[in-house]
Amino acid sequence: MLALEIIGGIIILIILFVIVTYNNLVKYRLQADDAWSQIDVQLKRRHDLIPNLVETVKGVMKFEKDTLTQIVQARASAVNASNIPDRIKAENDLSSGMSRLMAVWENYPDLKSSKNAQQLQEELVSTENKIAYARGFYNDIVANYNAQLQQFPSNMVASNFHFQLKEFLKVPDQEKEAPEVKF
Amino acid sequence: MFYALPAETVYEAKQHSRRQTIWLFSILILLYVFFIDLMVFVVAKVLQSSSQPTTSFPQSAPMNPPALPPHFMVTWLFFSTLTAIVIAIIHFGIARAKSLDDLLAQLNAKPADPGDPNQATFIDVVHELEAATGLKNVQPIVLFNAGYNAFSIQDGHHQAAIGVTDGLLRKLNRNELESVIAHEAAHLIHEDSRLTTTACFLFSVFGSLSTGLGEAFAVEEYATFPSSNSNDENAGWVLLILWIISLLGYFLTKIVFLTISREREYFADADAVQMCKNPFALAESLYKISDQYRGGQDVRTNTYSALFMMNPQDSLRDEQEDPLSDLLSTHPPVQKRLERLLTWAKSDLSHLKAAVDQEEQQEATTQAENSSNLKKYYAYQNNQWVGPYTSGQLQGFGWFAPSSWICAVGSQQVMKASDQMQLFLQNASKNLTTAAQEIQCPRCKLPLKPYAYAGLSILQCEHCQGYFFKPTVFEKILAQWNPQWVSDASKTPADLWKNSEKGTTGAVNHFSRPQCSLCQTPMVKNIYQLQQRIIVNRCPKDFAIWLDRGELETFQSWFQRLPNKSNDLPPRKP
Repeated sequence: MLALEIIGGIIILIILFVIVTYNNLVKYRLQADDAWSQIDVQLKRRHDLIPNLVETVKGVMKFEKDTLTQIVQARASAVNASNIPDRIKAENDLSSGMSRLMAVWENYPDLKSSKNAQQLQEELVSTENKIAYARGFYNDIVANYNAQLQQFPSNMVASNFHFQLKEFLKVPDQEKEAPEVKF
Repeated sequence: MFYALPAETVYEAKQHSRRQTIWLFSILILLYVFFIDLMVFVVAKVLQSSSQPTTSFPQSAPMNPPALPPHFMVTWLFFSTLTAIVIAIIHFGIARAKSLDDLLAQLNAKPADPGDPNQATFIDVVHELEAATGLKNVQPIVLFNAGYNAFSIQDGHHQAAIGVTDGLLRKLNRNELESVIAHEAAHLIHEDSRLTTTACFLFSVFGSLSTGLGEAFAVEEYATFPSSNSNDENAGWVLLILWIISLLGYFLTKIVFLTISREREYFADADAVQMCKNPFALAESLYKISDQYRGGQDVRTNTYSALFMMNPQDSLRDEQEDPLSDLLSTHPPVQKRLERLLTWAKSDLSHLKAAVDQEEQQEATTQAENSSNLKKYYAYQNNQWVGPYTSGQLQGFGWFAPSSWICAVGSQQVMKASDQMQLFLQNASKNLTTAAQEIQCPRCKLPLKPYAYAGLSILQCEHCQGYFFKPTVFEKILAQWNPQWVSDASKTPADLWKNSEKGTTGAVNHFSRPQCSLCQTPMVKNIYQLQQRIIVNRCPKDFAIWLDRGELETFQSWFQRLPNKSNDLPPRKP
């Protein structure tokens, strides 16, 4: 009789554990999806800013033609990308182009003195920051989620309910090098 | 002792701090219940003893008084504990029910205005940190206050706000502002402000109890003075004991709370670094804030001082590092926080000071743009264009030489400074005539230029954009800002000096001091006017005043907002 009660108790505990772990995993997965969509929002914002940017700097930055073309092309291919890897590649190109442009921005006194250009620069800096922060946040959450998926005993629940590991967002190779500045 | 960078994610940090909060709060509540019970125990004991026969009344001996039932004490303790817990829960409820709007109204804060460029940047930065932390709907708030400080606040209805003072927005650059807001966002993740407001209510119970008992005790003492009735004497003793217990309770709960508060500051610093990856910027902003007036008496900061990034009161305790002051301050010493941050930044204090000095020089341009129509130039330094500067400002830079490249605003033509003979000549003549006929800037030692301000002639340094006031001039300006103070202005400066002597902060100031332009005495940073806590650099000998760049404008905008203070409250949410 006593043995039966003990076994019953253990079974109830295990069921409780499975429920709590499952709910936690679902929560983390939702958080990760939410963080991912936040990055998307910021990328969209950057796309919207680029026509304005090109309009503003086109006349002033005669020497940065290459960078500007790269930015415009990267934006076009990011907007038209049909699959995720293509999109990521295009956005990375865009990021590296933007950081090069921001680095040379200070060399143009005309841009520094124009009110419009200053506002635009502030918006661009802010958007780039948000993208970077949102990526960091996404990685934090993914790290948490993946740890749950691999740690014992929550990994047993995860594998039974087919939770998939999520991939980290990596810094593209060309961004690791400091942007070169041409004079 | 340095803390390691937290390896945990923001989410884990949140959970960790929640656990820690529960622990410390349990200790707080245990203390609370313990002291209330102790007080009840004392009362019960006294009631018991006074109902027993005493030697002073031998004639009432024959009949034994009804003995108290044995479980009397237990029942008493049970009910008092219950009462204490109910009171605590009610207080929690009140603290939580307070809406964000009410709290903001108490601080006299306003939502940030996207039309103002400084505030627009602030709004952007707050949104950036929302992206970094996953927080939603954080309101950017501006506190119209001449001080430099920042705070975060949230209520029980999941509403949050990050606030900065008007002065801070002018003082910090973008990176520094980011680090400060990240520090505040970290407080929000850890729900520190909610903790603060709730804990404040907890120990304020003991605070009011001890004041009440103290008064009752004083009255009792006074009343029993003529007669020497033993019963009354007993009551006096009881009140005294209760008063001491409630005081003890107040201090112990407060110390536990302060421990939480200080730990949280370190925590938020570490988190801000983790988010922005820029410990040096946070160190710079802390350094800048610590050097300045932090907005002390303007807001009801006594209750809320733990919400702010730095203690708004200029407390000596915050800077000292002995066990007692460590125990009694809401914030850890600035020096310690700086050391931690600088270790992470792989830098040191001298580097920090040099960086801040250099930045102050570069920032001087924004002021110049508004104040003069002089021709301005960009200058080429360290492979980049800086400026625009007026010729007067350029002369003050150590790196500026006749061979420097310059470019006038509005033209694309780059030339050597020596081509602009006028610039070069002024530069040379400056070196020749550093003689004493001209009044020199207390900081840069360059000649000061007269500057018309509000019909009065004050002196301005072209290089660092600070203002020098000969004796009595500053008093006249204050009187113009606020007509009620004419009486103050008529006082001799010596009177004012005497008034403010108590408030000298010079003793704790480990930052560079300007020297009076008139007598070369090192100026002392002290409180000019106790009522409003204006802090200025003043010469202790002839009462001349020096204001660093931006301070005059900050004070001005602050005073001009004072009269319609009551209309500045944000509208309540429907």
